Amino acid sequence: MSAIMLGGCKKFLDVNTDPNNPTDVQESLLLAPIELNISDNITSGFAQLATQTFLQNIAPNQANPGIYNYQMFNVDMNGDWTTFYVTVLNNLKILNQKAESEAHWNYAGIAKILTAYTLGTATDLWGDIPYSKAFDKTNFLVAYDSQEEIYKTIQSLLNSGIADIAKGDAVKPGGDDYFYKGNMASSDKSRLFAEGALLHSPHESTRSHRCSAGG
Amino acid sequence: MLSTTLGNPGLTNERLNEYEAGLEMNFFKDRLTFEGSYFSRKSTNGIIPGALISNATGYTGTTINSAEIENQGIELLLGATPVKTNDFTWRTSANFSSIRNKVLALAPGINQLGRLIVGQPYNIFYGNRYKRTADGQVLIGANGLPVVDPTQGIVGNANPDFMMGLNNSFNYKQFTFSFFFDWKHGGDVQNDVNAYGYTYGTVKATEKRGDMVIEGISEVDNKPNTVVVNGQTYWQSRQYESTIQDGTFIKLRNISLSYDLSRAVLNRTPFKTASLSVTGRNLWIYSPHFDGADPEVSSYGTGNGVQSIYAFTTPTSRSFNVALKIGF
Repeated sequence: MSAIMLGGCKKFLDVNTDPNNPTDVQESLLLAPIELNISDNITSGFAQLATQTFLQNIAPNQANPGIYNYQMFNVDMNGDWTTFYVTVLNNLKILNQKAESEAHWNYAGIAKILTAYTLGTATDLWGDIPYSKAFDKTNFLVAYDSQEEIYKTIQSLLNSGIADIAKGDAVKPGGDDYFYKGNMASSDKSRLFAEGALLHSPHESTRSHRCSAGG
Repeated sequence: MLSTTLGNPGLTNERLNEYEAGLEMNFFKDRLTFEGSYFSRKSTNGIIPGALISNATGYTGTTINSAEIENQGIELLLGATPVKTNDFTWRTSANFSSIRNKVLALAPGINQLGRLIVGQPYNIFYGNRYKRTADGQVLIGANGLPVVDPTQGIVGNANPDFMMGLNNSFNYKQFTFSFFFDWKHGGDVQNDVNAYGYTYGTVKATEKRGDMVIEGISEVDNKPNTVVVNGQTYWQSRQYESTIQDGTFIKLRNISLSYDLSRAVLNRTPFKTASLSVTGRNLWIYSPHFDGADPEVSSYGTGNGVQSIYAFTTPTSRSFNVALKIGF
């Protein structure tokens, strides 16, 4: 009887496990919000709107001083930096780790392709960016990779993403994959899209890198 | 999705060292009273929740435990009963407080976290500002408009110089009349309404919108500016710095008139006491430098980053009450 009581008490006092904030979830619960954020904040988002403003594709009729009058400060891009690194890339890293450890190769492949796409967009905006030394909880002064390094990383992420998908794993995303509804042939196409975007990037370094790599 | 803040398992207790000295004096059978105190507080190992870290770590911030902040202040309270006769009593009291604070340290290698800057008071305003000459005059560009400084800087301080309250009450027979003034001197407010109002021409200052010459030193020839600009162009180029206003105010916080029914009248009723009062709250606001509705409003609360921001919030309400109080 006392053993049961003790057991009960031990469980009751377990305040370190918060059922509302799980520390580990299945891939399908990560992929949906990540894709939402890629759509909202990477493909769209402030940086892309700013680009459209500078290209004079959009303009408000009257605006207080700021981006719409071509007045920009470094800090104005802080929000985008957060969505790229904190909201999207860090969660993609977790998704990839989880999928690889569970051998859910379709999820792992999608995570790598989406990471490549996000990195490609980031390097278009900022040039040299952190990646190889990033996402380390113990290092707050993160070293940057050169844009050339980033493009090599993107290429290798795409290659291993394709290799993951080619393993033909039976576990496929469904409705949690807003982009392709789990159609892995289409995910392959997104790789081609990402590669195409790379190839047509305005940056000279990219094109020369692609040419030298025989692409 | 992962939490955007990184936990810190190495936190320790905050430490607060405080010294306080006080003095209390009563004169003339309590007709005059004085209380005064001085305090000095220094907190170390201060916890800063959400201290920004490189987002490339995958997190926006973490909790650190290394802040040092200093607070020093004086508080005075003076009370007096200048007149006291059988029928008439006048009581008055005034309180005064002035607090100075300073951020001494944040974290190794970090001198600024948002509105906290080492060596500056707690909660300054930081952002876009105008370029100035060494003696503080605004630099004007060839187009006749103030030049925007390419680096942001400190443009204001939310901490008031001092606060005062003045309370008076007059009793004449069964009548009591009292009023209470609140005075905050200094302390800047970020007026977000103006940030839009300058652009849309809805701020009082923009009434003057014809051609004008902006006072300042021309960047072109280092002489006083003479270039004429259109008022609308000028107002629509106003920067963050222009939305910081001195939030000094004097408010008539409370004014009240009451009448107590005499015992003689109440003897024939079941009531022991009865009074009728009329009270008005916030009937008058005087804010000479602030052109929004109420400089006391802090639209986003009193947190670290959001103190003293006025953004499309309704002012403190003005109210009239008529009350009948009866006691059994």
